[in-house]
Amino acid sequence: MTLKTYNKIRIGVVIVTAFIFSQSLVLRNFFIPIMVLGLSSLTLFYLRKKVVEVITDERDYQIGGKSALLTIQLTSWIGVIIMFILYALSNTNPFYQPIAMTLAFSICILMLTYSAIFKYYSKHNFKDEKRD
Amino acid sequence: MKNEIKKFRTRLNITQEELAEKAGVRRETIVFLEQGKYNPSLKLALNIAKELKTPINELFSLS
Repeated sequence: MTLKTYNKIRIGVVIVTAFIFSQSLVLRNFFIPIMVLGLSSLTLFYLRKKVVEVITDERDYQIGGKSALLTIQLTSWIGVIIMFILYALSNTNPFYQPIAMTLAFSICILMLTYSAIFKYYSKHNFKDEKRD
Repeated sequence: MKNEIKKFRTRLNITQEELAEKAGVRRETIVFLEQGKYNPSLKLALNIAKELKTPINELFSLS
């Protein structure tokens, strides 16, 4: 299978999945979306294996790493600013405080997960067998 | 880092697509390499040098 065919099928699968997902949620059925999501993931995983061309290479991994770091930094900063604003306004609306707490904990978990994974890869000899 | 990939590739009459396939990367990566917008890993540099039948020091140099 060529990369072009794979991309066309992937777009189709994403559209069909999104449609079924949204319709199932409207009909308040939560079993079908999980099934569809799992099935589409497996389908895409299987089709990806069938592609003979290179889909991702070292440049993509490098860009991915930089993008992930920047995304975490931006998300953290925006989250912290929103958290402080919500805390400051918690006197006007009592619901702001739990939202701010949830946001703070989410950012903490995100940063801790990133740090743990970063430490793991920096300590262990990082070598992707698929690429090397 | 400067490189002479385009010069050696055209000398061997190889397309970017063919070189990308042989080196195990996407065509876009070869495009960015030739434009000097991307510095390859040592493994990719060695692969390209091998495919272009050129010593790596002739292909890549520090600018």
